[in-house]
Amino acid sequence: MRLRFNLVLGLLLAAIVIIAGVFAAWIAPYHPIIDADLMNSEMPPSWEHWMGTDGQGRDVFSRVLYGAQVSLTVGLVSQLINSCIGTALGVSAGYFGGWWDDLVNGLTNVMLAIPSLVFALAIMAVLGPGLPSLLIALGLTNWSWTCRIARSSTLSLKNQGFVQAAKVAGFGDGNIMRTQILPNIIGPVLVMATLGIGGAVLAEAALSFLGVGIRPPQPSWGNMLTDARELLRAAPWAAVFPGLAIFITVLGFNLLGDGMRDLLDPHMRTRRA
Amino acid sequence: MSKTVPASILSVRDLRIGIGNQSDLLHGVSFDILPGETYGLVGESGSGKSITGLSVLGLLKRPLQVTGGSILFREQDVLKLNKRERRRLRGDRMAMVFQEPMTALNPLATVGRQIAEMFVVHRGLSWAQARLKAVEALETVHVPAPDERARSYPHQLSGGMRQRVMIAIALACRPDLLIADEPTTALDVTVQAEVLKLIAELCQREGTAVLLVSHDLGVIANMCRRVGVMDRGRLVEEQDTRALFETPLHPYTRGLLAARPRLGSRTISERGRLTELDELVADTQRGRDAPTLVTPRGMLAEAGR
Amino acid sequence: MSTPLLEIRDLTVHFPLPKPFLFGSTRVLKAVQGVSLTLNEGECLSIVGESGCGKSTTALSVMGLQEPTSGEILFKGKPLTGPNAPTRKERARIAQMVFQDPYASLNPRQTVGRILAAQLALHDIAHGSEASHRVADMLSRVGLTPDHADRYPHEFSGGQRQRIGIARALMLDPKILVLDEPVSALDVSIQAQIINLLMDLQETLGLSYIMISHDLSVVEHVSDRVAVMYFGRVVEEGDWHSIFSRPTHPYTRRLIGSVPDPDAILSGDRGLPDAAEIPRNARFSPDVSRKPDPHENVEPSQLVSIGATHRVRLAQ
Repeated sequence: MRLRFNLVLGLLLAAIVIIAGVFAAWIAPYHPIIDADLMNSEMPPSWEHWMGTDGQGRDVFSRVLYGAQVSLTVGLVSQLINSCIGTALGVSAGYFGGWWDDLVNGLTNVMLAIPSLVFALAIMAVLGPGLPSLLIALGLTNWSWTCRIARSSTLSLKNQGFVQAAKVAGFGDGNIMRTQILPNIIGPVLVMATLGIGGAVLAEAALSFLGVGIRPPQPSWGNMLTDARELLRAAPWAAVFPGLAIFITVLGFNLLGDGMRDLLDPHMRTRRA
Repeated sequence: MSKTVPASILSVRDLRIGIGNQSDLLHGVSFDILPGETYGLVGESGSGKSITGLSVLGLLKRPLQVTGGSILFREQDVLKLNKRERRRLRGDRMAMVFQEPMTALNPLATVGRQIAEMFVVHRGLSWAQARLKAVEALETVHVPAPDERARSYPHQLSGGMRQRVMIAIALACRPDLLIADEPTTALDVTVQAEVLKLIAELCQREGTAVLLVSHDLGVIANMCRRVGVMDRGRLVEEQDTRALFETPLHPYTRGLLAARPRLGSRTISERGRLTELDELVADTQRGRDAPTLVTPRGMLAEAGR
Repeated sequence: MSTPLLEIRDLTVHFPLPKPFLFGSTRVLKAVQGVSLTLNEGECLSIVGESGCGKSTTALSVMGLQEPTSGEILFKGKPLTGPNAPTRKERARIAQMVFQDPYASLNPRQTVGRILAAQLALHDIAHGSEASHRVADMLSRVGLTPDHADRYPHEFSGGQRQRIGIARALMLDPKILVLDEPVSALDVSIQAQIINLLMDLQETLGLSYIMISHDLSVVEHVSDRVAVMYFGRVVEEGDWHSIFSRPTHPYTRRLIGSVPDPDAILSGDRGLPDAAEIPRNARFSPDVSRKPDPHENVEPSQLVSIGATHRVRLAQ
């Protein structure tokens, strides 16, 4: 029952964030960049500006909504890249073993040893700031845990009867990995991906905060925090609301991941005869 | 009824086990074990034999729980004891040997230490004294070079040796009752024979009563004087072992005895079909009590029918 | 003599063990050491022995799931191993396998219908409705009903799952079925049903079985010929009746003597039948009074005939 609750709350929070991002243009009362009203800067929340205004007089609410677009794109796309890399490497390493396994294992360990944020920073430094390079940087740096999970699940699956039976029936290795192994590890991989979305959102915020992520004036939760840093005393709302948005997103996707773990268990789908 | 029963070491009365408050796994099981007796519980998976053994020790896993009946151990209802008193009983007065010795042993401690622990916890010995006792205990279970073996970790031992260590731990404090749940199922046949012999020998010497839970009629016949047959949460028949094999009364028992492949039963002329259980016992007869249970102490009407 | 259906010649399988830290050379575990066996058409050959004796490794080599270190396996005189080995797909039509654990041998995420039908499509035998037709046929053949095809494995009992495993092995109409402990994970009462099913199928489909088992009562009931393996070698081999009525190698005798047989126990008759005679001055190999080391080389020995079909391993 508790897990169901997780799933519902997670879905709800994730849905709020997704709707906010997708319909930002319709919901937002102001333009996030152009509508800068220096006369009305650092205004506390009011009826005109639900979340107040920032140092340049821009509507924080509108900017949070548009920021959701960036954060969600970063979260979903980078996790998609991570999951694909991690699963492909992990499954093939576990299945074939041998030198390939050693290589993948070594690579995973190296990735785990370097703090992923530092690695992402290095990639950003080479590629330059902007959304595409952010997606690549975060997509290339966070696959090691997915890879480990995929590999260890594959190792335990590959000697099970049904995988052996598929070999004996003449199926090729690619086919076996796709039809026998992948469906059985997709649960943990998906859970890892969902949990990773929160991390990617935080990483985006951190990178933008450090000034290598999304370039201002384009709003992202991370660079909103950067901007609000100096006004923390004068206009705390400019930092609180993007922070809250990050919190809700991370919490939402984490709960979703938790709930999905339960839902993806095949035994939950029993059809009684 | 209780008058005809001599002081039993364990007396299970109308035991019910279920999830929540429904008794849907065990529907009232009663049996007695006399001091020093080896009593067998035989049945198939899901018959309730294992949870019966676990409930005696108080080791049922949630959400399973005892929903009714009583378990009298040395004339004391263990279901009425609090957690601490039960824990003190476990390992000291009653002990258990599990099917898989690898998972039942702590992989990070030497076997000597794990045996010694029993003496420290239950007998209050110092570790130094307990260690000596542990080596002695290994010697009694016929582990070669016990001094050296006491310093080994479980993964360094073979399956048979590990099970001997389990037995040494279980019998360390000379309990009154040993519950052995499929103690040899994970072992090779030749090793199984040795381990069974060891359990029989030690328990006979110390006068330890044994509740042997097994699916293997051969093991039961080898070890037990008396057998209870369980099916679908009920004790459907209880008899002296010999009588059970010669004149099984319950249709399920008859089916079970007929359906197993027997060594030496094949004739040279043809490879005959084996009798299948459902050819002999109708589904409606399964898990039903026979009108009476025959025990060596006379008729025992099954309670709570 | 006609060519046997399957011939295993001098099969050897070694597993390299990880090197001990810093010092010492690589050691190998000699799982199978020079095993030669034949399987004739329509016959059930059982390989018995305890865990680690190499019986499963032998079976896996036959299935192509384990690469032999040396030796060859021939099907109707054509090699299944080495450079001219058939592809995995070609091999699938020759031999199939029934696995021990009915819970791990079916993919939990596929319906029974899909588990059975996928191979038909792969081998281009049948597609679409023709395939479902064949699946339905096969399900009834193994004692299930056609509507079971839409269900997932976890909806079945252990015995039913084993029936599904048997059905899967039969879909490609193989000549040989390797049965790896087919009933040892099942309840006693279910065992009889599965054994009967296997015997019926063997007769109606003209199958040949290689059965791997440690359960001697099942082996006695089903087999035509029996090979007893001990530490990687066949120590005794013969037709079922010679093995069970004249167990000769000390290990075979110990194995049979260890079976807890209720009838024998209760009648107090635990005597084994007499052993067959072996030549004077001959000695059984290996010496069973001490455990052989699976890393060492074994003493030279050979299987010596002591009856029409009965052979036992003696030291040279």
